Amino acid sequence: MRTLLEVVIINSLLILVSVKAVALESIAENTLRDVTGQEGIRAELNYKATIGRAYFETTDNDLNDNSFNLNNISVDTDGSNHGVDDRPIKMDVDVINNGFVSGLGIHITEVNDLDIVVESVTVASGAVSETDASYGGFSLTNINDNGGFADVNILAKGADGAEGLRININLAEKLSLNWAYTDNGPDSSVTTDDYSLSANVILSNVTGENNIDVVGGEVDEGSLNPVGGLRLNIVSLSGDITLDKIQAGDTSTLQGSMGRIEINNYQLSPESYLTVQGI
Amino acid sequence: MAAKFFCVLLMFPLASQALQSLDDSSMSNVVAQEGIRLITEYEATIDSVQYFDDKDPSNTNDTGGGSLSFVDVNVATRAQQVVDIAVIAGKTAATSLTKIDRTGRTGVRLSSQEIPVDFTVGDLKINGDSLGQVGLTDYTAGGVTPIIIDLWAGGFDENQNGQVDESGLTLDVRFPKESSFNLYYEEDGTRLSGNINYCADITCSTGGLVLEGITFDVIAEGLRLGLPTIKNGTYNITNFRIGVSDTKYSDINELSLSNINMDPGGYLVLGAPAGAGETEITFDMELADTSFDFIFYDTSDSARDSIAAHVQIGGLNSTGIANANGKINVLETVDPTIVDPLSKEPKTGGLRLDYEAAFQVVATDITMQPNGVTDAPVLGSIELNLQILNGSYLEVMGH
Repeated sequence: MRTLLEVVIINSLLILVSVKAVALESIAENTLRDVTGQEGIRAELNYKATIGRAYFETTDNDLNDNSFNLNNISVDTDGSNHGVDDRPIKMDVDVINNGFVSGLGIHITEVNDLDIVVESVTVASGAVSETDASYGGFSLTNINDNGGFADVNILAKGADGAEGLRININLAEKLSLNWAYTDNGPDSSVTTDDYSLSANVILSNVTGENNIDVVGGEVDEGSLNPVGGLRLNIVSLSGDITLDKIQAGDTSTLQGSMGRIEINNYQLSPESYLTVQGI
Repeated sequence: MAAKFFCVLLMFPLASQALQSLDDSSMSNVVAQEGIRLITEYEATIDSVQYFDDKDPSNTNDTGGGSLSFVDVNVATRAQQVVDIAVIAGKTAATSLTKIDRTGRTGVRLSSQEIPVDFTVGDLKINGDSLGQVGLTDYTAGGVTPIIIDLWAGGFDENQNGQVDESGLTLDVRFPKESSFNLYYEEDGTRLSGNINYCADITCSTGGLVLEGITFDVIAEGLRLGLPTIKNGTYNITNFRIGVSDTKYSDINELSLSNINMDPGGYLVLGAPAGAGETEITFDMELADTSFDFIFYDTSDSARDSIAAHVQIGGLNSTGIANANGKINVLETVDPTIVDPLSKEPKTGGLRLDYEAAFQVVATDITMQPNGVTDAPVLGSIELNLQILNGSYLEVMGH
């Protein structure tokens, strides 16, 4: 059972780490010429898709089914050129085994204009409809590795028999994107009453090592509560974030900026953890 | 079922299904039948968080270019933090845990019986000059009733049709009467500190603070924050003191605001300037009628001598609303004739607030009550009508 869960988690993480799918295209023979004696898979990911709704639902004490919905999620690996001179994201996938750890190593390059857009985030009590109250939508667009590369390693934990996964992530030295939160106006048929809070974001030197495990009924120190669930242990997490050209409102008239914010060298201590369980 | 599980994993990659049943004692923190529980401990450090007022390269008269910095920021839990998350349907005031009528609304509820988090800033700087250290420590919810944060979909009713047909966020927060925290500001080894709590009486049998209907929206003018409605809230500053250590300090008389009432309708809009190369934060604020009972009292020598008044804040006339507007910049250069009174050197600029405002403050039933006296005579009332004209400013610099 645990193995099955971990397989599901691996699949989910693979999807979440921005690639959103595994290789969909065959690998041309000429691409294989680049491999100089090393085994592995090289994939070029060119992808444009939408997901109608992803949701999380709970039942309250009055037996209402209440749902939290992400509506009309769209992913485009090359937002500006899709369909014309596509620039696919390139990935080299290898199985790593150095005698101490083993797992998958994914080397990602040529992220040129990746767009991820969630049109609206809504909540509903009972049946879901287009008129449900909305928190608004958000988007991460023009995600660009600026010629750099990202490494994602998904490893089995150590040679000591420990179970679980270790996820190591090193993002490109400079990963830039445009972030926006959009407050949709009352008229859903037009966008002229939609206004956004937005910024140009640069993530620099982001690196992290995390252990993920499904834990059983442990009793945590200082608590009588059994702590079972999915546990994320931080080994290390650090980086820099810059938010530039922060704007809000009608940018056709308010063309200036509210300023620039730099967050330098944030770090989570190695003792940090997060456990998620059902209530 | 598999598809549903997969969707949950997509949205909450760390989520999983319940693995353990809970005993009855642990159910006291549960305010919804289903949901997710997050259990966490962490320590996050940040070398610096800096705000920059960038200069317009095409405007030689732009006096911006300064920075506001929070250096050596630390956010850490002192113990395990447990937060429950559930999607909920709004209830009537009588049946809601927050006693707020949210029928017809749907949202996400975060609840926790304990938030053992400390937040400290090792140095607060303007243009590299230090203002001192600040911190919020020893936050506790009291462990009796949970802090509740309700995030309802839909914000400010801009088209005033009485329907939640615009997106945005409405936030209700309930601080239980048992919750408290410490605040401090320290400079050159001397610390000004106080404990904030929400007890309405000496035994803390009543009290608490509910912030109702805080809204977040983006409108044409910028980011709009709807100020909360407050009904009979309490806010106390106790152990208000200044000193150089935990044992060497002087008490400042304690302060209590009770029966705090703030009417709905207040707001703060933060926006950007019109010019493409410019940087500044514009603001426009209105404050709905607000009132509270103010008590300034001394408990350091076991006596409870106090000065009390009922205070109302409103517009300049019976139909007016207290308001202010202006702009915020961090200046790199200022008039060199502005001289630091301590160093006698011209300053390099600071955090500058240019504003105009109009409001009225009325203090009634002012009493000075010695310890043991239950019926002190009323001294009278004070009415202050204040109109701060355009061109006024406040500039804060470090030294």
